Amino acid sequence: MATATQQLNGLDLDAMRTLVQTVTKDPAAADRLNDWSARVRWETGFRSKALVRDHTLVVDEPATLVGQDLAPNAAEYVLAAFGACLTTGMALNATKDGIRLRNVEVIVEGRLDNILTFFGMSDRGHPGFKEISVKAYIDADTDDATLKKVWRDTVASSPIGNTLVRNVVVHDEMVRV
Amino acid sequence: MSEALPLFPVTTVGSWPRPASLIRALKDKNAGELGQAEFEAAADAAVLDILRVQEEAGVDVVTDGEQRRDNFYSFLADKLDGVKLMTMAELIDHALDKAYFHRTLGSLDAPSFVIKSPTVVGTLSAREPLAADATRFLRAHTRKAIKVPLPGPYLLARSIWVKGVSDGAYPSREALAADIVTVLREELGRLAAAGADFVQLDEPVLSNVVSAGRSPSAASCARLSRRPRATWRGSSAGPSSSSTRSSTDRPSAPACTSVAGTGRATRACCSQATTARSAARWTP
Repeated sequence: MATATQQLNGLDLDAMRTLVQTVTKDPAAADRLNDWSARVRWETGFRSKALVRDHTLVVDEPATLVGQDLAPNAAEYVLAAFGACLTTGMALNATKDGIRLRNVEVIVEGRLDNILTFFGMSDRGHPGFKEISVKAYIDADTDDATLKKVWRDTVASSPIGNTLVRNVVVHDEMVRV
Repeated sequence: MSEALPLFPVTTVGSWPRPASLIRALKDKNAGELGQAEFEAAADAAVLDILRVQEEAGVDVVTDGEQRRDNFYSFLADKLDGVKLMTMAELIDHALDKAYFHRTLGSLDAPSFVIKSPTVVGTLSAREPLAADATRFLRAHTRKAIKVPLPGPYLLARSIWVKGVSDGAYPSREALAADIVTVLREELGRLAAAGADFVQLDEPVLSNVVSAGRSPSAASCARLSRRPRATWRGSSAGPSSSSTRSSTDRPSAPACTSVAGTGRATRACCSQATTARSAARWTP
Protein backbone atom coordinates (compact mmCIF):
# COMPACT_ATOMS: atom_id res chain seq x y z
CA MET A 1 0.00 0.00 0.00
CA ALA A 2 1.38 3.37 -0.97
CA THR A 3 1.99 5.84 1.82
CA ALA A 4 2.31 9.59 1.61
CA THR A 5 5.88 10.80 1.50
CA GLN A 6 6.90 12.40 4.78
CA GLN A 7 8.45 15.77 4.19
CA LEU A 8 9.92 18.50 6.34
CA ASN A 9 11.26 21.76 4.94
CA GLY A 10 10.65 20.35 1.46
CA LEU A 11 12.98 17.42 2.09
CA ASP A 12 11.90 13.81 1.69
CA LEU A 13 12.61 12.29 5.10
CA ASP A 14 12.69 8.73 3.78
CA ALA A 15 15.23 9.71 1.15
CA MET A 16 17.34 11.38 3.83
CA ARG A 17 17.20 8.27 6.00
CA THR A 18 18.21 6.15 3.03
CA LEU A 19 21.15 8.45 2.34
CA VAL A 20 22.29 8.23 5.96
CA GLN A 21 22.05 4.43 5.90
CA THR A 22 23.95 4.25 2.62
CA VAL A 23 26.88 6.39 3.69
CA THR A 24 26.99 4.63 7.04
CA LYS A 25 27.16 1.14 5.57
CA ASP A 26 29.16 1.89 2.43
CA PRO A 27 32.34 3.92 3.00
CA ALA A 28 33.11 3.90 -0.72
CA ALA A 29 29.76 5.49 -1.50
CA ALA A 30 30.41 8.08 1.17
CA ASP A 31 33.85 8.77 -0.24
CA ARG A 32 32.43 9.37 -3.70
CA LEU A 33 30.42 12.24 -2.26
CA ASN A 34 33.72 13.98 -1.48
CA ASP A 35 34.54 14.61 -5.12
CA TRP A 36 33.14 17.50 -7.12
CA SER A 37 34.24 19.14 -10.34
CA ALA A 38 33.53 21.84 -12.86
CA ARG A 39 34.74 22.44 -16.41
CA VAL A 40 35.09 26.10 -17.34
CA ARG A 41 35.61 27.35 -20.89
CA TRP A 42 36.55 30.87 -21.84
CA GLU A 43 34.20 32.30 -24.48
CA THR A 44 35.23 35.87 -25.19
CA GLY A 45 36.20 39.00 -23.35
CA PHE A 46 35.79 38.28 -19.66
CA ARG A 47 32.94 35.85 -20.27
CA SER A 48 33.26 32.15 -19.51
CA LYS A 49 30.88 29.26 -19.26
CA ALA A 50 31.11 26.59 -16.58
CA LEU A 51 29.77 23.09 -17.08
CA VAL A 52 28.80 21.48 -13.80
CA ARG A 53 27.15 18.06 -14.17
CA ASP A 54 24.08 18.82 -16.32
CA HIS A 55 24.16 22.53 -15.56
CA THR A 56 25.86 25.49 -17.15
CA LEU A 57 26.79 28.72 -15.44
CA VAL A 58 27.79 31.91 -17.19
CA VAL A 59 30.52 34.00 -15.60
CA ASP A 60 31.14 37.59 -16.64
CA GLU A 61 32.38 40.88 -15.24
CA PRO A 62 30.37 44.05 -14.73
CA ALA A 63 30.76 46.88 -17.21
CA THR A 64 32.92 48.73 -14.70
CA LEU A 65 35.45 45.93 -15.17
CA VAL A 66 35.10 45.92 -18.96
CA GLY A 67 32.73 42.96 -19.00
CA GLN A 68 29.31 42.69 -20.59
CA ASP A 69 27.61 42.11 -17.23
CA LEU A 70 25.77 39.06 -18.51
CA ALA A 71 26.24 37.15 -15.26
CA PRO A 72 27.94 37.33 -11.86
CA ASN A 73 31.70 37.33 -11.77
CA ALA A 74 33.73 34.54 -10.24
CA ALA A 75 34.21 36.34 -6.92
CA GLU A 76 30.47 36.88 -6.63
CA TYR A 77 29.90 33.20 -7.29
CA VAL A 78 32.16 32.44 -4.34
CA LEU A 79 30.01 34.63 -2.09
CA ALA A 80 26.82 33.18 -3.52
CA ALA A 81 28.19 29.67 -3.11
CA PHE A 82 28.98 30.36 0.53
CA GLY A 83 25.51 31.75 1.13
CA ALA A 84 23.86 28.82 -0.62
CA CYS A 85 26.02 26.43 1.35
CA LEU A 86 24.72 27.97 4.57
CA THR A 87 21.06 27.88 3.51
CA THR A 88 21.55 24.26 2.44
CA GLY A 89 23.18 23.48 5.75
CA MET A 90 20.35 25.15 7.66
CA ALA A 91 17.84 23.01 5.79
CA LEU A 92 19.85 19.89 6.58
CA ASN A 93 20.49 20.63 10.24
CA ALA A 94 17.02 21.93 11.01
CA THR A 95 15.42 18.93 9.33
CA LYS A 96 17.70 16.56 11.23
CA ASP A 97 16.47 18.16 14.45
CA GLY A 98 12.83 18.10 13.34
CA ILE A 99 12.59 21.90 13.15
CA ARG A 100 10.30 23.50 10.58
CA LEU A 101 11.93 26.38 8.76
CA ARG A 102 9.66 29.19 7.63
CA ASN A 103 12.24 31.42 5.97
CA VAL A 104 16.00 31.62 5.67
CA GLU A 105 17.89 34.41 3.94
CA VAL A 106 21.64 34.86 4.09
CA ILE A 107 23.56 37.94 3.03
CA VAL A 108 27.24 37.49 2.23
CA GLU A 109 29.55 40.44 1.73
CA GLY A 110 33.23 40.21 0.90
CA ARG A 111 36.10 42.64 0.56
CA LEU A 112 39.10 41.82 -1.59
CA ASP A 113 42.46 42.58 -0.08
CA ASN A 114 43.74 44.55 -3.07
CA ILE A 115 42.15 44.35 -6.52
CA LEU A 116 45.16 46.13 -8.04
CA THR A 117 47.25 43.00 -7.59
CA PHE A 118 44.85 41.20 -9.96
CA PHE A 119 45.57 43.86 -12.57
CA GLY A 120 49.31 43.55 -11.97
CA MET A 121 49.41 47.16 -10.81
CA SER A 122 50.50 46.57 -7.23
CA ASP A 123 52.67 44.24 -5.20
CA ARG A 124 50.92 45.03 -1.95
CA GLY A 125 48.70 42.36 -0.45
CA HIS A 126 46.84 39.82 -2.58
CA PRO A 127 43.77 39.74 -4.85
CA GLY A 128 41.76 37.33 -2.73
CA PHE A 129 39.06 38.09 -0.22
CA LYS A 130 40.48 39.60 2.93
CA GLU A 131 37.26 39.39 4.87
CA ILE A 132 33.80 37.93 4.38
CA SER A 133 30.78 38.84 6.48
CA VAL A 134 27.67 36.75 6.75
CA LYS A 135 24.31 37.72 8.11
CA ALA A 136 21.44 35.25 8.35
CA TYR A 137 17.77 36.02 8.82
CA ILE A 138 15.93 32.92 10.00
CA ASP A 139 12.32 32.30 10.91
CA ALA A 140 11.78 28.84 12.36
CA ASP A 141 9.49 26.97 14.72
CA THR A 142 11.87 26.56 17.63
CA ASP A 143 13.20 28.43 20.63
CA ASP A 144 16.06 30.92 20.43
CA ALA A 145 18.71 28.70 22.02
CA THR A 146 17.98 25.80 19.70
CA LEU A 147 17.94 28.01 16.64
CA LYS A 148 21.25 29.56 17.63
CA LYS A 149 22.79 26.11 18.01
CA VAL A 150 21.50 24.96 14.62
CA TRP A 151 22.99 28.08 13.04
CA ARG A 152 26.34 27.59 14.77
CA ASP A 153 26.38 23.94 13.67
CA THR A 154 25.57 25.06 10.15
CA VAL A 155 28.42 27.55 10.05
CA ALA A 156 30.84 25.06 11.58
CA SER A 157 29.96 22.28 9.12
CA SER A 158 29.75 24.38 5.96
CA PRO A 159 31.95 22.87 3.22
CA ILE A 160 32.37 26.22 1.52
CA GLY A 161 32.93 28.03 4.83
CA ASN A 162 35.63 25.56 5.71
CA THR A 163 37.14 25.90 2.26
CA LEU A 164 37.37 29.64 2.79
CA VAL A 165 38.89 29.62 6.25
CA ARG A 166 41.26 26.66 5.89
CA ASN A 167 44.35 26.26 3.75
CA VAL A 168 43.36 24.33 0.64
CA VAL A 169 46.03 22.56 -1.39
CA VAL A 170 45.65 23.63 -5.00
CA HIS A 171 47.32 21.53 -7.72
CA ASP A 172 47.54 23.24 -11.06
CA GLU A 173 48.65 22.00 -14.45
CA MET A 174 48.71 23.63 -17.86
CA VAL A 175 48.52 21.70 -21.11
CA ARG A 176 49.42 23.36 -24.40
CA VAL A 177 47.20 22.21 -27.25
CA MET B 1 -20.56 67.02 16.40
CA SER B 2 -16.97 67.66 17.38
CA GLU B 3 -15.67 70.50 19.49
CA ALA B 4 -14.91 73.82 17.79
CA LEU B 5 -11.28 74.26 16.84
CA PRO B 6 -9.03 77.05 18.13
CA LEU B 7 -7.31 79.44 15.75
CA PHE B 8 -4.18 77.28 15.69
CA PRO B 9 -5.28 73.68 16.23
CA VAL B 10 -2.77 71.09 17.36
CA THR B 11 -2.63 67.62 15.87
CA THR B 12 -0.17 64.79 15.37
CA VAL B 13 1.41 63.43 12.24
CA GLY B 14 2.18 59.79 11.76
CA SER B 15 1.12 56.65 13.52
CA TRP B 16 1.59 55.96 17.21
CA PRO B 17 3.72 53.16 18.62
CA ARG B 18 1.76 49.97 19.17
CA PRO B 19 1.87 48.31 22.58
CA ALA B 20 3.62 44.94 22.61
CA SER B 21 0.33 43.17 23.19
CA LEU B 22 -1.13 44.66 20.01
CA ILE B 23 1.94 43.80 17.95
CA ARG B 24 1.61 40.23 19.21
CA ALA B 25 -2.09 40.21 18.37
CA LEU B 26 -1.37 41.52 14.87
CA LYS B 27 1.22 38.81 14.26
CA ASP B 28 -1.15 36.15 15.56
CA LYS B 29 -3.95 37.47 13.35
CA ASN B 30 -1.71 37.49 10.31
CA ALA B 31 -0.66 33.94 11.11
CA GLY B 32 -4.30 32.88 11.36
CA GLU B 33 -3.96 32.14 15.05
CA LEU B 34 -6.21 34.96 16.28
CA GLY B 35 -9.70 35.86 15.11
CA GLN B 36 -10.63 39.27 13.75
CA ALA B 37 -12.91 40.01 16.72
CA GLU B 38 -10.15 39.27 19.23
CA PHE B 39 -7.74 41.44 17.28
CA GLU B 40 -10.22 44.31 17.12
CA ALA B 41 -10.71 44.08 20.89
CA ALA B 42 -6.96 44.43 21.41
CA ALA B 43 -6.85 47.33 18.95
CA ASP B 44 -9.83 49.03 20.59
CA ALA B 45 -8.01 49.03 23.92
CA ALA B 46 -4.87 50.50 22.34
CA VAL B 47 -6.86 53.19 20.53
CA LEU B 48 -8.58 54.23 23.75
CA ASP B 49 -5.21 54.54 25.50
CA ILE B 50 -3.89 56.72 22.71
CA LEU B 51 -7.03 58.80 22.65
CA ARG B 52 -6.73 59.43 26.39
CA VAL B 53 -3.12 60.54 26.02
CA GLN B 54 -4.01 62.96 23.21
CA GLU B 55 -6.92 64.44 25.12
CA GLU B 56 -4.86 64.86 28.28
CA ALA B 57 -2.13 66.55 26.24
CA GLY B 58 -4.63 69.04 24.80
CA VAL B 59 -4.41 67.84 21.22
CA ASP B 60 -7.24 69.46 19.25
CA VAL B 61 -7.46 67.04 16.31
CA VAL B 62 -7.03 63.45 17.42
CA THR B 63 -6.33 60.22 15.51
CA ASP B 64 -6.50 56.55 16.36
CA GLY B 65 -2.76 56.29 15.85
CA GLU B 66 -3.30 53.83 12.98
CA GLN B 67 -3.25 51.10 15.60
CA ARG B 68 -5.21 48.65 13.49
CA ARG B 69 -2.81 48.84 10.56
CA ASP B 70 0.30 46.83 9.91
CA ASN B 71 1.72 49.98 8.38
CA PHE B 72 0.40 53.12 6.81
CA TYR B 73 -0.62 51.55 3.50
CA SER B 74 -0.20 47.77 3.52
CA PHE B 75 -3.49 47.38 5.39
CA LEU B 76 -5.22 48.01 2.07
CA ALA B 77 -4.64 44.39 1.15
CA ASP B 78 -7.16 43.45 3.84
CA LYS B 79 -9.69 45.93 2.57
CA LEU B 80 -9.52 45.82 -1.21
CA ASP B 81 -10.22 43.08 -3.71
CA GLY B 82 -7.52 42.94 -6.35
CA VAL B 83 -4.72 43.78 -3.93
CA LYS B 84 -2.43 41.17 -2.42
CA LEU B 85 0.24 41.66 0.21
CA MET B 86 3.39 40.33 -1.42
CA THR B 87 6.84 40.01 0.07
CA MET B 88 9.90 41.52 -1.52
CA ALA B 89 11.07 37.94 -1.99
CA GLU B 90 8.06 37.39 -4.25
CA LEU B 91 8.47 40.70 -6.06
CA ILE B 92 12.19 40.75 -6.61
CA ASP B 93 12.00 38.65 -9.77
CA HIS B 94 9.86 41.40 -11.28
CA ALA B 95 12.11 44.27 -10.22
CA LEU B 96 13.62 46.20 -13.11
CA ASP B 97 16.52 47.27 -10.90
CA LYS B 98 17.40 44.29 -8.72
CA ALA B 99 20.58 45.93 -7.51
CA TYR B 100 18.48 48.77 -6.09
CA PHE B 101 16.29 46.22 -4.29
CA HIS B 102 19.40 44.61 -2.87
CA ARG B 103 20.76 47.95 -1.67
CA THR B 104 17.42 48.94 -0.18
CA LEU B 105 17.14 45.69 1.74
CA GLY B 106 20.69 46.16 2.95
CA SER B 107 19.96 49.63 4.24
CA LEU B 108 16.91 48.29 6.03
CA ASP B 109 18.89 45.47 7.63
CA ALA B 110 16.00 43.21 6.74
CA PRO B 111 15.42 40.05 4.76
CA SER B 112 13.24 40.14 1.68
CA PHE B 113 10.67 37.79 3.18
CA VAL B 114 9.54 40.13 6.00
CA ILE B 115 8.99 43.26 3.94
CA LYS B 116 5.58 43.22 2.37
CA SER B 117 4.03 45.56 -0.11
CA PRO B 118 0.42 45.69 -1.28
CA THR B 119 0.43 44.79 -4.94
CA VAL B 120 -2.31 44.91 -7.53
CA VAL B 121 -3.13 41.46 -8.86
CA GLY B 122 -6.71 42.06 -10.09
CA THR B 123 -9.37 44.67 -10.62
CA LEU B 124 -9.61 47.07 -7.71
CA SER B 125 -12.75 47.30 -5.60
CA ALA B 126 -13.48 47.93 -1.94
CA ARG B 127 -14.27 44.69 -0.10
CA GLU B 128 -14.93 46.70 3.05
CA PRO B 129 -14.46 50.31 4.13
CA LEU B 130 -10.82 51.33 4.45
CA ALA B 131 -11.16 53.26 7.71
CA ALA B 132 -14.82 54.11 8.26
CA ASP B 133 -15.36 51.44 10.92
CA ALA B 134 -12.31 52.60 12.85
CA THR B 135 -13.52 56.18 12.54
CA ARG B 136 -16.95 55.32 13.96
CA PHE B 137 -15.24 53.72 16.94
CA LEU B 138 -13.16 56.83 17.53
CA ARG B 139 -16.16 59.12 17.04
CA ALA B 140 -18.08 57.17 19.68
CA HIS B 141 -15.36 57.85 22.24
CA THR B 142 -14.39 61.49 21.77
CA ARG B 143 -15.88 64.91 21.15
CA LYS B 144 -12.59 66.14 19.71
CA ALA B 145 -12.17 66.72 16.01
CA ILE B 146 -10.97 63.55 14.29
CA LYS B 147 -8.35 63.15 11.59
CA VAL B 148 -8.10 59.98 9.50
CA PRO B 149 -4.95 59.23 7.51
CA LEU B 150 -5.27 57.43 4.19
CA PRO B 151 -2.59 56.50 1.67
CA GLY B 152 -2.76 59.04 -1.11
CA PRO B 153 -3.59 58.34 -4.75
CA TYR B 154 -0.12 59.18 -6.05
CA LEU B 155 1.56 56.87 -3.54
CA LEU B 156 -0.78 54.05 -4.42
CA ALA B 157 -0.67 54.50 -8.17
CA ARG B 158 3.14 54.51 -8.10
CA SER B 159 3.75 51.80 -5.55
CA ILE B 160 1.15 49.05 -5.84
CA TRP B 161 1.42 48.57 -9.62
CA VAL B 162 4.23 46.18 -10.48
CA LYS B 163 5.07 45.33 -14.06
CA GLY B 164 4.73 41.63 -14.66
CA VAL B 165 2.30 41.24 -11.77
CA SER B 166 -0.29 43.99 -12.15
CA ASP B 167 -0.43 44.54 -15.89
CA GLY B 168 -2.86 41.68 -16.34
CA ALA B 169 -5.47 43.80 -14.55
CA TYR B 170 -4.24 47.26 -15.52
CA PRO B 171 -1.97 47.94 -18.49
CA SER B 172 -0.42 50.96 -16.79
CA ARG B 173 -0.23 52.90 -13.53
CA GLU B 174 -2.40 55.57 -15.10
CA ALA B 175 -5.17 53.05 -15.77
CA LEU B 176 -4.94 51.86 -12.17
CA ALA B 177 -5.00 55.44 -10.88
CA ALA B 178 -8.55 55.96 -12.14
CA ASP B 179 -9.83 53.10 -9.98
CA ILE B 180 -7.73 54.23 -7.02
CA VAL B 181 -9.33 57.65 -7.17
CA THR B 182 -12.77 56.01 -7.28
CA VAL B 183 -12.02 53.88 -4.24
CA LEU B 184 -10.61 56.81 -2.28
CA ARG B 185 -13.45 59.13 -3.25
CA GLU B 186 -16.01 56.59 -2.04
CA GLU B 187 -14.10 56.19 1.20
CA LEU B 188 -13.98 59.95 1.76
CA GLY B 189 -17.78 59.98 1.71
CA ARG B 190 -17.92 57.12 4.18
CA LEU B 191 -15.43 58.85 6.47
CA ALA B 192 -17.42 62.08 6.45
CA ALA B 193 -20.55 60.12 7.34
CA ALA B 194 -18.67 58.29 10.09
CA GLY B 195 -17.71 61.57 11.75
CA ALA B 196 -14.26 62.38 10.43
CA ASP B 197 -13.39 66.09 10.42
CA PHE B 198 -10.14 65.80 8.48
CA VAL B 199 -8.67 63.28 6.09
CA GLN B 200 -4.91 63.22 5.71
CA LEU B 201 -3.70 61.82 2.40
CA ASP B 202 -0.23 60.38 2.89
CA GLU B 203 2.14 60.97 -0.03
CA PRO B 204 5.61 60.15 1.27
CA VAL B 205 7.01 59.08 -2.07
CA LEU B 206 6.72 62.61 -3.39
CA SER B 207 9.73 63.50 -1.28
CA ASN B 208 11.52 60.49 -2.74
CA VAL B 209 10.79 61.67 -6.26
CA VAL B 210 11.80 65.27 -5.57
CA SER B 211 14.83 64.63 -3.37
CA ALA B 212 16.25 61.45 -4.81
CA GLY B 213 15.18 62.11 -8.38
CA ARG B 214 14.01 58.57 -8.96
CA SER B 215 10.69 56.90 -9.50
CA PRO B 216 9.41 55.21 -6.38
CA SER B 217 9.24 51.47 -6.54
CA ALA B 218 7.54 48.99 -4.30
CA ALA B 219 10.88 48.64 -2.53
CA SER B 220 11.16 52.33 -1.76
CA CYS B 221 7.59 52.46 -0.48
CA ALA B 222 8.12 49.39 1.64
CA ARG B 223 11.25 51.07 2.94
CA LEU B 224 9.15 53.92 4.21
CA SER B 225 7.02 51.54 6.19
CA ARG B 226 9.83 49.49 7.65
CA ARG B 227 11.48 49.81 11.04
CA PRO B 228 13.85 47.47 12.85
CA ARG B 229 12.48 44.33 14.38
CA ALA B 230 13.91 41.88 16.85
CA THR B 231 17.36 40.87 15.66
CA TRP B 232 20.14 38.46 16.48
CA ARG B 233 23.46 40.00 17.19
CA GLY B 234 26.40 37.69 17.09
CA SER B 235 30.03 37.74 16.18
CA SER B 236 32.50 35.01 15.63
CA ALA B 237 36.03 34.43 14.49
CA GLY B 238 35.33 30.91 13.36
CA PRO B 239 32.91 28.06 13.51
CA SER B 240 33.20 27.43 17.26
CA SER B 241 32.84 30.89 18.70
CA SER B 242 29.95 32.08 20.79
CA SER B 243 27.33 34.68 20.01
CA THR B 244 24.95 36.79 21.98
CA ARG B 245 21.39 37.80 21.45
CA SER B 246 19.94 41.22 21.58
CA SER B 247 16.70 42.64 20.44
CA THR B 248 15.05 45.91 19.64
CA ASP B 249 11.39 46.62 19.73
CA ARG B 250 9.76 46.98 16.40
CA PRO B 251 8.31 50.46 16.36
CA SER B 252 5.31 51.25 14.29
CA ALA B 253 5.16 52.83 10.87
CA PRO B 254 7.16 56.03 10.50
CA ALA B 255 5.77 59.50 10.70
CA CYS B 256 6.04 60.07 7.01
CA THR B 257 3.10 61.91 5.64
CA SER B 258 1.90 64.93 3.83
CA VAL B 259 -1.32 66.38 5.04
CA ALA B 260 -4.25 67.64 3.05
CA GLY B 261 -7.12 68.61 5.27
CA THR B 262 -10.26 70.50 4.58
CA GLY B 263 -8.79 73.69 3.27
CA ARG B 264 -5.77 73.50 5.52
CA ALA B 265 -2.45 72.22 4.38
CA THR B 266 0.23 71.09 6.75
CA ARG B 267 3.80 70.40 5.80
CA ALA B 268 5.00 66.86 5.58
CA CYS B 269 7.52 65.35 7.91
CA CYS B 270 9.46 62.25 7.25
CA SER B 271 11.50 60.31 9.75
CA GLN B 272 13.67 57.76 8.07
CA ALA B 273 13.80 54.33 9.57
CA THR B 274 16.95 53.56 11.45
CA THR B 275 18.35 50.10 11.41
CA ALA B 276 19.99 47.92 13.97
CA ARG B 277 23.06 46.21 12.59
CA SER B 278 23.94 42.68 13.44
CA ALA B 279 26.49 40.47 11.85
CA ALA B 280 28.21 37.17 12.13
CA ARG B 281 31.76 37.71 10.99
CA TRP B 282 34.28 35.17 9.81
CA THR B 283 37.89 36.16 9.66
CA PRO B 284 40.31 33.72 8.03
